[in-house]
Amino acid sequence: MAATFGGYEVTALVLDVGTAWTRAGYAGEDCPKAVFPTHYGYLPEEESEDKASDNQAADTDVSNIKKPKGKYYIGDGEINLWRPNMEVKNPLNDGLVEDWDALEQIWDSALKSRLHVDPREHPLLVTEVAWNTREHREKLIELAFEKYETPAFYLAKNPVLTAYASGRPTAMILDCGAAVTSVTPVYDGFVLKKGIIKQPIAGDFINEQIRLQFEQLNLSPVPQYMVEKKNYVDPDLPANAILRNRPNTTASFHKYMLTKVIHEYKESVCQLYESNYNEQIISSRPMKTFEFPDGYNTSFGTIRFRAPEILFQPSSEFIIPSPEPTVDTSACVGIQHMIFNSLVTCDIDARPAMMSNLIVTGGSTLFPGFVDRLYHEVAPKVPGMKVRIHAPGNIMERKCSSWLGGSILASLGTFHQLWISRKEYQEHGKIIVEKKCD
Amino acid sequence: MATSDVRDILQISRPAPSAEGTPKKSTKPEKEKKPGLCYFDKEVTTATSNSYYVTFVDKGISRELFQLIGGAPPVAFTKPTYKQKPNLRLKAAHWELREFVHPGRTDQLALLRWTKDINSNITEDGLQEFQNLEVVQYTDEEYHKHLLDRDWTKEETDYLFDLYKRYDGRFMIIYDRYECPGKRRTMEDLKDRFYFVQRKIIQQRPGQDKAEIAKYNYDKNREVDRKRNLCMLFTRTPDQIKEEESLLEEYERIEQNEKKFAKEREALIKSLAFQDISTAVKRKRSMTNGSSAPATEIVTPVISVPASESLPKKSRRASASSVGTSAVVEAHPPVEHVRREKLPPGVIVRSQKIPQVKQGAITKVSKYLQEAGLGIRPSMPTENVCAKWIELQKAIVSLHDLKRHVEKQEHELKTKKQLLEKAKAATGGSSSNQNW
Repeated sequence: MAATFGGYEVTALVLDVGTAWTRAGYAGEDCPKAVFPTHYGYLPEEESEDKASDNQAADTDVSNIKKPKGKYYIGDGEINLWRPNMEVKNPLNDGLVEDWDALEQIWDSALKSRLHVDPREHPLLVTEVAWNTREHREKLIELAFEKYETPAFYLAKNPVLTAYASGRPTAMILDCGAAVTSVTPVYDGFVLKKGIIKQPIAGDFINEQIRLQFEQLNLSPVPQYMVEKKNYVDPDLPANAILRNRPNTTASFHKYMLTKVIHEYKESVCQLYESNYNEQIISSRPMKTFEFPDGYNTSFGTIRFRAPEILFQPSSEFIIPSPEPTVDTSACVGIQHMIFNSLVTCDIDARPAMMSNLIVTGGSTLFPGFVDRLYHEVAPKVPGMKVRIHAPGNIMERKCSSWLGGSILASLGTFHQLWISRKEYQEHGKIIVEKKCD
Repeated sequence: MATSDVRDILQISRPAPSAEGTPKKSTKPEKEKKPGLCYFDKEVTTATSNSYYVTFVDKGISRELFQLIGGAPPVAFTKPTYKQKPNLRLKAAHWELREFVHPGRTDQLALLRWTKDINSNITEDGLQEFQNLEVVQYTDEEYHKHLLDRDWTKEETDYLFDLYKRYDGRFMIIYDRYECPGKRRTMEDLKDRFYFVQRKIIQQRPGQDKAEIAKYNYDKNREVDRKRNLCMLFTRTPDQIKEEESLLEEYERIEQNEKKFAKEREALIKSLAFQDISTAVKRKRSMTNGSSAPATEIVTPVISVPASESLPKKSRRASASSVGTSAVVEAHPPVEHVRREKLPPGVIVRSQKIPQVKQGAITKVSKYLQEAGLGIRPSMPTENVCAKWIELQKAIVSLHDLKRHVEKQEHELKTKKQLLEKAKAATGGSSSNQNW
């Protein structure tokens, strides 16, 4: 395979830590070897330890990372297993790393217990969000060279890698993932920073909205971990299931498991209407049935179109006000406006190329009808231009596009002179990351 | 279909396995060797087919089977191929993790790569270095001598040049990353400054190739204008674009019409010129003959033809002047309307324009005309005369029609009257019968 695209493999590793999923694998391959949730379970070692000291442990210096205070559970098999008092957390916020201890655990898990490699032997390419700050980047390079002692390191931006994955150096990237929806113009393999537009209406927000919708419908889904045995019941009849007694379940674990149910509902039932939202037409669409873990099953009609509609119309018509709002949606606009606003920041000469290379990526773009709707909304906004949307049909490709781009990049012969080597790091210190990775 | 299937169907006993295996082995490679180009080909193939033939007969294959394969090798006969067995006796290829240094690196970073052949050096395919962009760099002295600018400090110019080198001259990105405190630069500002510096240095330095200057020509105002125009295009509304498209279409149509007109006019002028010559010749001839009457009859209508052409020309001009306004849409149809009425090309005598009388009525009409002491055509076809003539013709035709109609009616009346009388007589008779 290497010969077909002028690759030159150096057994590099590619690590992509996203808000929902972490992907790790070898450069040059067409899909990551390991994909696991970025959420992690955390169990304080001593139960007598109270929360205050727990927080203190998390706040301690990065250099003190050798001895984690509690136990980390990482991976699908670990995190979904019920343990009393296990908290479920996410190390990222807004795409930026907040909990460095946890990130380290995730790297450990990816490189050592999943890929089973010695990081000292492999160059490492790590992805980052386009709006990553200087401090975060410096911390990442420090972690790679100081703790993992990689021979070479590179930090690449997600949108650039997505553009590479679809073979276009100039493109407009719409990335609608779990925590953030972002639009980033990429020109000749460089992110145009002035054009980055992001907002927190993405997959997680839609999950939250669906939860509120369920509340309005008086539905209270029971997560899988509470169900011991379920029996078949006819549609719309109350569930007939034997529930487990799970004492000492943390709120975060319950929420995570609940979100999993909602996520499944979202993936199997929700849909975007292909043209302007019209409840009357939508009501003639077929209903879809969903069975909850406890066996309760019912059909969903127009409501299954309402939650994804928020992506295009984040107005009070569709957003249900939350009693404890996690994100501020007052300044949010629809995806089509984000694209237009980002386009306007680009130079007029670059705009046609951007619009004819509109790449769609991220798990939240997998709603049926998303691409049709996007075209329907974007094309009239730029009437004089040709709009071409590139959305890989392969689900894996859509979910892991930045990893894939990293895999392509790190196996290119020309790329090997861009690695930051250990020697360079020792000579210049961590500031070199700003200089070499752009 | 394998030969074994054929055998099963025909219930032929299985031949010795050696009979199948060996001959094919010997012939197949030869066939594959066929080079396909040389003249010698034919002989080779016939030879192999013969050997096929011979070997099968020799090995004692049953006749039925032989008929299936016999003669020339059948087209669909393919040797069953099996998955190649792995050659386990071969020694495994030796792969080795080997270090290599990218030629473009300055720090001797040794990366590891799996290579198959230990003896060969690591190939450098796909290890191209990045080409650095050529930038003419100024010195301090040069800067102070030639490049001083009120708006640009040396620090800022240095910064611009740094960025230029860093991003390989991609101004789109330079503009994106450009951060100078207290100044807002447009991309045109940056380009203008950069190209200005380049031009200036090349001009001033003794050793520089002066032809290089052309590479760095930059007209800032023109660029600004161009971009402003592009922006205007970008901000059009869908309605405006639609209107523009329809106007363009209209314009194209008008232009095509114009071309057609021009062509036709040319043809007309040509034929007129030809007519002029021929009439001149005729006139000369008639003058020598002494009779001037037919000459005038031909010459007068010639003048009238351009006059009749003047109407469409005028309306065409009117439509052409209104291109670009919405009036075009309304102004256009009349153009086509006029065109449809157009006279056939060539010279016409006015008297020809007088509509022909129906075929059946010609003789009658001419009879009437003769009665009035006139010819078939007006002898002096002026416009007034022609108009009157047409009127007269029409009147004659209608008179004729009416006469015929009257005659017909009278005849009918007569017959009806006769019928009535007959009927009266009959009813009278029948009533008398009843009385009986």
